[in-house]
Amino acid sequence: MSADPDTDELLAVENLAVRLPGPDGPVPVLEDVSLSVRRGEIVGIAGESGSGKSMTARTLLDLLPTGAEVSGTLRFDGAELDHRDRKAMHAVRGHGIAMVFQDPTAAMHPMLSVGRQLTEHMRVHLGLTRTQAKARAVELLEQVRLPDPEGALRSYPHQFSGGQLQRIAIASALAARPRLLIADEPTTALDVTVQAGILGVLDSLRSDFDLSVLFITHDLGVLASLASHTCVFQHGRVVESAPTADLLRSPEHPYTRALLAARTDPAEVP
Amino acid sequence: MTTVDTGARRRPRVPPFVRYLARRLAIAVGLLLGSTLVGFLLVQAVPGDPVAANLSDEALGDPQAVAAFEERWGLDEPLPVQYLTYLANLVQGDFGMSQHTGRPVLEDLLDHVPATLEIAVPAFVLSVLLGIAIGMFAALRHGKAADQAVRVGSLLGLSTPPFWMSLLVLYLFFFVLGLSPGGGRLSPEFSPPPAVTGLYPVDALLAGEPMVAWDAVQHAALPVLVLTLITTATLVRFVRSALLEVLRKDYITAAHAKGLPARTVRYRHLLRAGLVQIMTMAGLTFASMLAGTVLIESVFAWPGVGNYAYASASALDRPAILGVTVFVAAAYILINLVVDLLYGLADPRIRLS
Amino acid sequence: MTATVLPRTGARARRHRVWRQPVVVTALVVLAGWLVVVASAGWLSPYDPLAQSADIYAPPSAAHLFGTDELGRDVLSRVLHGARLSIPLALAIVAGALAVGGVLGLIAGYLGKLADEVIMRLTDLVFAFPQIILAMAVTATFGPSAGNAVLALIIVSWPVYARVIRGAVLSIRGENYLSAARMLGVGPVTVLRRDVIPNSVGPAIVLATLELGNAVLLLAGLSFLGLGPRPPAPEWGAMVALGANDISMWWVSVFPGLAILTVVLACNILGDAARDRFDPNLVGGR
Repeated sequence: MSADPDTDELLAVENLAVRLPGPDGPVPVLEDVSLSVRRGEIVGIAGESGSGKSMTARTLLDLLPTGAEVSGTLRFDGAELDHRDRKAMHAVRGHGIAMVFQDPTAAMHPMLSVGRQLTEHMRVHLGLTRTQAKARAVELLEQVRLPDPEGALRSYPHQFSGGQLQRIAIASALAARPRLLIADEPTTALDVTVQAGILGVLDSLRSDFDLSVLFITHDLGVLASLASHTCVFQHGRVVESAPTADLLRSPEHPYTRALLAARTDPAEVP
Repeated sequence: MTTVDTGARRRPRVPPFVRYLARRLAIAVGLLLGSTLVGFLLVQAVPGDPVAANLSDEALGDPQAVAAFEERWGLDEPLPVQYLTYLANLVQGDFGMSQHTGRPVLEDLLDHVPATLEIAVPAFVLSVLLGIAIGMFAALRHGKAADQAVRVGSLLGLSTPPFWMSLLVLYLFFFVLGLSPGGGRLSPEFSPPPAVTGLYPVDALLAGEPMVAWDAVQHAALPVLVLTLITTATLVRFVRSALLEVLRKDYITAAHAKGLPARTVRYRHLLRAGLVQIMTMAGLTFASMLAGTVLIESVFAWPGVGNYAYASASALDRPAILGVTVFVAAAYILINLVVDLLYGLADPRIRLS
Repeated sequence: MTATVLPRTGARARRHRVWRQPVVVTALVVLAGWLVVVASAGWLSPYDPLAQSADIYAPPSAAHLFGTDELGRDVLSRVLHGARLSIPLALAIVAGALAVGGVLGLIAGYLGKLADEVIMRLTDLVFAFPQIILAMAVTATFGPSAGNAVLALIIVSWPVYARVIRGAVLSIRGENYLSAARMLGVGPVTVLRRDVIPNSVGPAIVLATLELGNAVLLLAGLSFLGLGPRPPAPEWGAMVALGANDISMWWVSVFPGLAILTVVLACNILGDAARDRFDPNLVGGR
């Protein structure tokens, strides 16, 4: 999937390779990864745990452990993402690219109020006053359909259920008006009954905010109705990349077929 | 949030925080009773005649004193009654009579408390600040040379006998460099300021005697230094490992992913998360400082609780030693209780759940 | 997020290897050196540790490498003989506390219920006292002597072992094979011997290593207070205390203090390394 000179292109990853320090020298975790995301598009990344999907997300935001070696090109919104340029990276994080984590109870700070966690980066990135940020936070919580947004701002994460927290986390991710949202298995840790709600919220926000989404999952089926394009990861490589409909209808790589077969099996991939 | 507050709905009458307080209080009372029982059992365990073991030779020659002792302890009663007698005495502030000072132990102790606080409080404040700063410095450089240096340095602090460190700094700063005025709380040419707080530097300033205050500060400097070094070593290790634990959490990664300045993540997110644990540890440390002074104060001729304990131990003054033991245990338990309460206030999960 | 876990543990393992190398090897050498001293203090010492001479407070010289004390005794010989006293006594404390705490921890973890409750409250109670204070009270009660100091320090240090061993037992009790063994009708003694005890060895070793240093330090503290082995026994803590009589004669206390420091530091470094190696989650010691 080489990047075509598409003016619509928001994110382009080319020949990305990442090596992490290991006990016996650097260990490759990503090799020759290329993918691209257009404005307003939802792109899916599928693969099992350890296939490098989350690592790709972390590389984009420069959240790798110290000592990681990164090579390849990352282009976001027409400019190169340079991890060495700390100032630029701080501006991209949250403001350009935001992230929603797998387990909302672990990704929210237990001792800071929801209001604080929703507004702190708004004030950094958008330069809002406390009152403006609060008003926007209430608006966002309404958009993710959380009941009683005013009260929620004064509450702490432990007072919410997992599904509610994930909605809050999504609101927080959108708070600083990012162009790209990385959703790292946002429904895996949640009850099946609340999964559909979260997915619905994500899809409607995409159109409301003209947002692009990189949706990471181990469940190819989730992507069917959500993503226009899907990349399948195995052992740190992209083994197949195609429009989602084509990929589901006629998977070419044996691993993709295995993933699809696994989906019919009710047992979860550990 | 009507859908989530199931915990509160189940038990609508007693707020969880009140229950938390009640439980902590009950534990503290239980431990206080337990510690008095230990004190009592130790009195009983004295080999041979308890009268002989607990009275000075002078008092032993006095039949009235012996009878008074037997009466006070209810020595002809069964053991449980004796314990209750002992407990009743304690509650009334009767910790027994010291053999080597001939005064009530509690009176002796209360006389020595301000001196100990005069060094323990500054040392505590300093070591908490240093412990957090150095521990955080090391945690943020996990595995690097600076981290290893901190790790070895703190082990060194933990491994140094406090009394030996006291002698070394006294030798260095008093004998070699002449920078310290030496032992005691004040130089002989000054007389103690009128007691208000019991802390000489404060009282001296209140009395408008800056020279006396400065002299008192100079005298306190070395014991404070030793106590700080030893306490900091413990705290650094604890802060470091507590913060390393927090650094692995998703919410720290999430804070970075939001594009917050590193400083904000460090102080608002990282430190805030570790602070509750650090506070608990700091409380324990303050309590154990009372014990640490036993091995420090005597070297500096510092007339605090530790020195009293040392003098009592050297003289094998059993009532005094047991008094110190129960007193320190009580202080230890009460400080822990305070810490638990602060802990509950600081953690929204306990405060609001 | 599972993807990040694997490489990160790898990086940590490498750091631990680095940590173990020079510092830990030094610690091992130091401890081994002290063990040699324990074994051969008799003929390593240039003088009789108790022999007094007219040559009092002699500074370090060729004749007396570490100088002499207020009674003209050779400090070097006393430091070397002190190892013979401090190290075996510390080992006895650790062994005793491990035995008492181990047994109580096994009982608490294995039986649970009332036994567990009673034993755990007992540990809480001991933890309510600063160690040196309680040890001081116990030795003062029974009279100062080496034996009573050891006894007192066992009394104040067993609860740590009990808690760690109890934790180890509980963690295996949760696993299936223990209940399977029970269902098969294997007796509790067999289960203890076959499953519980072998699985508690790791944490026990880590803790014992960490606590050995603590035992040396506490013993020296008690002796400093005059509650250890009776004079003129060359106990390190008591020797440091002698130096306080005249601090200008620095060598009287500096050398025994260094002896304590090196033994305790070596134990602590090894304990730390052992904790990393065996059980990074064990919150042993204090």
